[in-house]
Amino acid sequence: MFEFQLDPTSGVATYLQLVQQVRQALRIGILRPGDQLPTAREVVAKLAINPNTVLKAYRDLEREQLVVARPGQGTFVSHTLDGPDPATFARFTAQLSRWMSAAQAAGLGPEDIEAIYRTAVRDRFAEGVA
Amino acid sequence: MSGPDDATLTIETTLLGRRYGRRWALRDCSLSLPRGHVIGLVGPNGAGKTTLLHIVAGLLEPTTGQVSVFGTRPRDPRALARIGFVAQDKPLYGRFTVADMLRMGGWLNPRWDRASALARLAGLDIPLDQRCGSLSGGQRAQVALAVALGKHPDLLLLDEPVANLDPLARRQFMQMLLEHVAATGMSVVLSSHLLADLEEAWDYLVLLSASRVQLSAPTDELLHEHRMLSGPPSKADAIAAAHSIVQSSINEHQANMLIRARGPIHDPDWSVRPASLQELVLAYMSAPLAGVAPALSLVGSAPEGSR
Amino acid sequence: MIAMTWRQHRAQLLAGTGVVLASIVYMVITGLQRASYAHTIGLSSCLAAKARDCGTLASAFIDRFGGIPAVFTLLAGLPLLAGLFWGAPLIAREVETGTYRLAWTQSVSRRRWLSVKLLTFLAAIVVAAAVLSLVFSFWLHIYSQITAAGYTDIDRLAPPAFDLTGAAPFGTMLFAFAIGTAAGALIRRTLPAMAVTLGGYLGVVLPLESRRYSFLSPLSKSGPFTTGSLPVPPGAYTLSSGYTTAGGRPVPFTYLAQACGTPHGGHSVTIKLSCLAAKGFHVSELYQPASRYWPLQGIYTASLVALGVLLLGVAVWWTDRRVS
Repeated sequence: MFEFQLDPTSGVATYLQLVQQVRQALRIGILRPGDQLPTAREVVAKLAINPNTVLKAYRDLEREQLVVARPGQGTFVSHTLDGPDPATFARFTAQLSRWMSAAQAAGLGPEDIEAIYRTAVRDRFAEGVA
Repeated sequence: MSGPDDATLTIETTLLGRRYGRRWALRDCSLSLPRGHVIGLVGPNGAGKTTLLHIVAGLLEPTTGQVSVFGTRPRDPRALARIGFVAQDKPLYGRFTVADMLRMGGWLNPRWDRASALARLAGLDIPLDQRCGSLSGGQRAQVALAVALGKHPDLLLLDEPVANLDPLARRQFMQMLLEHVAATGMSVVLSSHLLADLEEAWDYLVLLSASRVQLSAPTDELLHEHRMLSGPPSKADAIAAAHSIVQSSINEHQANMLIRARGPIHDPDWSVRPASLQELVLAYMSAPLAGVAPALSLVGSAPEGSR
Repeated sequence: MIAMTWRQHRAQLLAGTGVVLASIVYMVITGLQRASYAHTIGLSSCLAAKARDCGTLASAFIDRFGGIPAVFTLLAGLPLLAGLFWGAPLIAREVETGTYRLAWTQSVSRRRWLSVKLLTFLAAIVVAAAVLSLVFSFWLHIYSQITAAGYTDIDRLAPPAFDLTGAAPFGTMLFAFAIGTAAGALIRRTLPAMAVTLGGYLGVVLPLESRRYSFLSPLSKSGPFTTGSLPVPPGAYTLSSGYTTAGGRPVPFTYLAQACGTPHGGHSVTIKLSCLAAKGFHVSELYQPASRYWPLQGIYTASLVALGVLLLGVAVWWTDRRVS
């Protein structure tokens, strides 16, 4: 059964983390159509979060048509993500790996690499101001 | 057990107050709390959280005002069976064994789920034949919670349940509680003067400070509406005119403000980010910060909070 | 709720049972001793025959066993334990340990919670009092017979016998329990409640013990001493005595002791009735006759029960309305 993790320090809202983890799992192939997501009860029993948070995340995923809720049975994955195929993933994974080796050789540690990455992501994908 | 209130509200109080001698432990407390939420009751020590919980649980009579739970008085027989309470020190009968406590639940409650209570305690390796007086703090909390959940209350009140527990016990306690919420839709009011560990559990917040209600709203709404602003002091007044200032700190170089936004902020001179629940609560609880320039006062209190 | 009451208070109820049992065992053993001795020396058959003079046998019996031993005065104080250990902790303990926040948030109303507990203890009190009363009456029986025949004056009107027979044990136990419960309800701390229970119980019961003999107007009898019997009928309780010489001059008891007494070991003096009769002394007594036993028991017990019920009512009302 697929298991969620929580990073309380990431600054990302909990329900978003859940959504992102499902999307990520779909991308990588850990979750496939037909797989059942853990029930709200199971998630809550492990993570000690509010059940409504889980329901909200599942509703979002349902709205994106990635999952479907079957009453009395549970929530199931319905589609994969329309996105890059595994080959594309592999190519960019390899590119990143090479970049990281070069960074390490230049003397950058894990924290430096992380800082560069986060800043770049933020600058590129930051949402508009409310 | 009828009436429109019963469907949507668990607790409704109107100008509730409680006085001990000269001191008001609670004052002008008006709340309308919806069902199906895990409601956090926060505030500094002495703010009146325990007093409020005791009144709602039927253990204390208010000095002024009214309280109703599911549309009736807390001590009405119809309400008594639907309300559960775990007091701050997790009272148990010291000479009773854990098994006795579960039996007690069956003797004193018409609705009693012995099987689930047993399963929960077995899962935590709590021996049934141990006397409650010799349980550890974490185990006491678990047993007290199992007894409270066994009667399947529609509303469970907990007074500072995890304050004295070690991190593992705290975790297990919240897991047990929230799993039951997920399974039954039970409403919960959980008081605390700490925020960490419990932020994830709450989806509704009531803030008591100086014996009065400062805030009462769903956490989603609070997080959506509150912003931390940082920008030029010259523009501070414009912000104040358009939004509610909760707390501000202004000097000649920079203005930092926590606001309750009434609309979007388009001015690019302001750096805006969402406020965290901790920042929110701290701001509402504390007095305005003194700055070199005249400080804006705590505008966002009482009227907003008492819904 | 009954099962809960038993589980929570079984130690107290069992301890009380133990105390009552121990008292009963003591009474049965010592009572049987006396009864069998009376039978052995022929006293019982002598008294049954009624016509003969059993005086020597009676004296032998009294010499052997004396009257009611001092320990029974202690036993007469047993009811106080019901107040101290059943009543005072009942509500006080619940409040001071905080368990009331558990007990009163189950599904049982406070009123029902307390009523079932009170009724349970009251039932135990009824049984304990009845048993004590019956067993002590058995113990006292031989003395009652000797007194009825006029050979001594140990009977059930006087303390401690009055307190250990009839309905009095029930009245005192109920009252003690009621004071304890009310004190516990209002004070909400066990030890102070116990202190108040002790003070309240003694403060009411001790004065009542002497005043009860005036509940009905005492009778009066006067006349000369005659050999063989006192002017007061057998089994009566004397409230006060006045003595006069043959000429009518009032004299204190010490005068009689000087005139007709012979020292009898230590401080006690034996006074011969024949001497008093010969010297023409007169005595006038204020007394309650034995026939007034049940009316006095009734008034005494009813007063204590009425007070007790009132106090229990206060305890229930206070617990229901106040106790924050």
